[in-house]
Amino acid sequence: MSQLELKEFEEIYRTQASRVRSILFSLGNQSEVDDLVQEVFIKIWKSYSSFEGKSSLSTWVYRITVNTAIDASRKKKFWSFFDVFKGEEGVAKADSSTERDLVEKGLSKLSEDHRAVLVLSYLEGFSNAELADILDISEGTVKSRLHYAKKEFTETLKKAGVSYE
Amino acid sequence: MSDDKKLQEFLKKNMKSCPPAPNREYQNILERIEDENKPAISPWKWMGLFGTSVALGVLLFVSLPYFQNSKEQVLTENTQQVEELLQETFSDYASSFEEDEVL
Repeated sequence: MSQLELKEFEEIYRTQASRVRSILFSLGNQSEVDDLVQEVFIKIWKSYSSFEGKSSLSTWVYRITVNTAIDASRKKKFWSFFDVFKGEEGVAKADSSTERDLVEKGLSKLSEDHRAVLVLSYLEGFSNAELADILDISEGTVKSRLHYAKKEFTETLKKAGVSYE
Repeated sequence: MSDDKKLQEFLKKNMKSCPPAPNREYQNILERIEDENKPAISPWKWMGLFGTSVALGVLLFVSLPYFQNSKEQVLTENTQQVEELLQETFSDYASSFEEDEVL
């Protein structure tokens, strides 16, 4: 690593690490957030030379973060198939019904794409235009995904007897 | 309060708070980057592996005719032994048959 590259990289870490961590955590990767933060910054380091500056640096960093989070969630979902064999432990967890658990359950029922727009919009406070940049989709698609994600999430909560209104 | 604002507050209230970063996180990232930049097997080890493979190949090539010769030798010896055994058995049987005829 050259000193210049190292200095730039350190600056990216210093300014973005807490936001990256928060996004990864909100997107449902709570147990492996430490590993994923490292993974994101290694990806940033490796692909920094290919960053063309078409979007802002932060948007590029968040795009890597969201993609890493979505990949990790998909892997987790794939392996969770084998949790069926774990027996009663999983069932007991799913039956617990505090409001926080229900929110978690409602979010986990959404597809990765829907969960991403919902969480990034309502929890991380990104605007539709920023989301379109980060997810590399049109603003219309962001609005549509947000609408369906919100609808599905609200219905899951209603079924469980929870309302935020 | 708008519906969106209510949902936002509800989510914020019910999401677990993100844990703080570990103390040495940045150092760990740099260490992992340095580890990934290192080749998994050093060039010296690759050369050692290549040399060993070549030596084994040469050894096998040189010793192959020896194995083939010894295999043929064993086969010839075995065939001779079987032939001798058959001859002995049949000559015994033939002589006993002749004796029976005389009687």
